[in-house]
Amino acid sequence: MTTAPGADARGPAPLQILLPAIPASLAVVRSRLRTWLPTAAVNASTAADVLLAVGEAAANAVEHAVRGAARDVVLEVTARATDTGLALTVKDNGRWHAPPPMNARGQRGHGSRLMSALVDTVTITPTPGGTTVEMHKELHP
Amino acid sequence: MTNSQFRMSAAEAEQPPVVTATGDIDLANVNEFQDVLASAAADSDAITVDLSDVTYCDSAAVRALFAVAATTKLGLIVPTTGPIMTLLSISGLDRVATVVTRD
Repeated sequence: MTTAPGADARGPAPLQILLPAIPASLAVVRSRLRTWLPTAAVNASTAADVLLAVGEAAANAVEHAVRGAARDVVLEVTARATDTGLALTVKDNGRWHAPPPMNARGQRGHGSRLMSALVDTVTITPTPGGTTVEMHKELHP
Repeated sequence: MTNSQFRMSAAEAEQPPVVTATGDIDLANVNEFQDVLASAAADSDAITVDLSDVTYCDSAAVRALFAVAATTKLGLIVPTTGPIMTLLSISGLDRVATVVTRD
């Protein structure tokens, strides 16, 4: 794996973003990732896939927060380089709600399939105290 | 209806109205996108939505497009690069809309 300028032998510094789980935070997450991904030697095409996978998970977190409502919910996004690619997490401390039922046209409930198509592994862990989505994207330099 | 990010051009010469979107579409602005789509679809049985200058969109935009496709013949112009085709095929939107790609 090649290293980008500014990255040491262990890769770039991990990224951690903590924001209120509100729609306006989604653009901030993308902005931070758009800056960070090139430092991890991620090409534009892969970066776009990662941006959508993380963006989809973060949007879900914001929607959990809206439906939870009782307290301020925090959205946490992390990204770090691993030996073989990128480890990405999207966490919220909102109350878990089952995904809305898929309607006849199927436009609901495809978020996890979308994430799985964009990155190599997706693990979604819903708990009463929040939801954690862990993703890994292999990089093939 | 016109704003900086979602513009609608009127139908002309047998062509349906075109909604041109630019920039990022997410939960923060998808309601504006949906309003412009609904406005375009109100007076026409077909609309074209040009997403070729959209730099990010996710399931929120897909839901808005499904909503308009329920009542209106939908054509989509999408960028040749980026994950938007993945988004369209996973969601099934490519089966209810006519999709063409453009650089």
